[in-house]
Amino acid sequence: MRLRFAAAALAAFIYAAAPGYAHHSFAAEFDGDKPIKLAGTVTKVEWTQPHAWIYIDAMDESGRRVNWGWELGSPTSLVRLGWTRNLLKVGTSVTFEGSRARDGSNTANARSVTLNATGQKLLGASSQGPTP
Amino acid sequence: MRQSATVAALLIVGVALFAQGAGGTLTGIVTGPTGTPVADAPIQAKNRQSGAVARAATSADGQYRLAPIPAGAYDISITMPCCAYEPFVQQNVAIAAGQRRQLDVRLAEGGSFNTAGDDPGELAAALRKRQKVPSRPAPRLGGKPDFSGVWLANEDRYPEQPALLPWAAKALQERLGNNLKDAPHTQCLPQGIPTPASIGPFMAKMVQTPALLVVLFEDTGGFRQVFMDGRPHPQDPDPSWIGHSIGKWDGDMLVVDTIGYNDQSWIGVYPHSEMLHVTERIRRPDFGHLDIRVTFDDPGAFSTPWHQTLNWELLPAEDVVAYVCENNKAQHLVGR
Repeated sequence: MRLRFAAAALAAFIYAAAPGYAHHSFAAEFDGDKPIKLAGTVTKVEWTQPHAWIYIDAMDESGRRVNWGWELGSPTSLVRLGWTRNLLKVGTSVTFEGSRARDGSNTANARSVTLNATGQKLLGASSQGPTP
Repeated sequence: MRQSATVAALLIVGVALFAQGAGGTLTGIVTGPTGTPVADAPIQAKNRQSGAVARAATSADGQYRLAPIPAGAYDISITMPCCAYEPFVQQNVAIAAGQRRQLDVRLAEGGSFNTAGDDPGELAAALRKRQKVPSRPAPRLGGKPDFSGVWLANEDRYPEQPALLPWAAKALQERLGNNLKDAPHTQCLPQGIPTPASIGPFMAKMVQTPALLVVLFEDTGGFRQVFMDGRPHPQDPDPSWIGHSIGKWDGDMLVVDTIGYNDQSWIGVYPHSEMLHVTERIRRPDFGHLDIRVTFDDPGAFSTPWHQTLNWELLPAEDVVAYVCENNKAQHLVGR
């Protein structure tokens, strides 16, 4: 009982850390133990709240074309970081990195986005800025 | 003259030596999971015996220095704006008199999984870069400070832990156990209390008149009204997500009193009951800052009232924009 209380107290302490949090917990949606990196061509851009989604066609191991959805932050936030809705147009060749969805669907969170034509990293850790 | 200067110099050296002998130094570098320095990380050392705290923020290259701090055992903690990094806690760090102790911290990745555009800390840094905030006193309106402006709704950098009643502690455990998948915000419902609840990418715009303070915020819920015309709270308000707020001046501080909350909203991750009573004490110490001390009093959820200290920053170059939660894909939220 004491142990359980201690665990609860510790959890409370740690998460007192989080009076606010992102729109939803990405951890509830994606699995950090399932990293994924895919190159493909943009097929659709959903510049919508609460999160922007970018879809790409990519080849799977058997050479079959599969459509993947990548979840980003909110457009509100992306715009303030210098993105625009026209940054990635349909047909652009890109590489996304992130973590796969827990529900097994062909979706992932976008940790970084790289333009294949120039190798420029648009967003994510050590990005070179949003201007392509 | 020369003699008195020498005496003064000796005195200064003496004081410095004394200070060095009486206290120690804690220093180090804070990095992220990949070793990149983390700037503006709020580090706190809390003395386990006296409860006294020493605080510092890391520099652009991730360095921090807490000195001099009295010899003793300390709990060291860092809480970054949610949720790019996990909070860091290291207990019982001993610091001896005169000791210079190095404690480097590598923060673990947080629940936002480094998703592009979803780190409030990164966003705040980008916003600060393009603001030009004049150094002058707060503007005034009808003899009182005017809070009007667009504000970056920062979180409490040194959050307090509420003492939860057993049911609330159990609810919290459940929430943490499923990665917060049932947070109201995941269903595009208002996020928290007090609204706007210091929310990552969102801002709050205050519009003040002598008898009414309006808070426009980008997140779901949209607005708050603080009535300053002397009206009381309604006798039996219908419980709502934002409650009923009245404000009274205490000198240059506005005291906002809110009741009438439903029990559906979360205070960050914490639950509450309809008995929740929130008091916000708002000051504008200068043109560019808003200091808000929030008290959460709820005998239905907390054994004692607790607080948040919010320090908002003026964003003269920004404005609030529309935010309609139109494309939620909550079906992917499975928890763990």
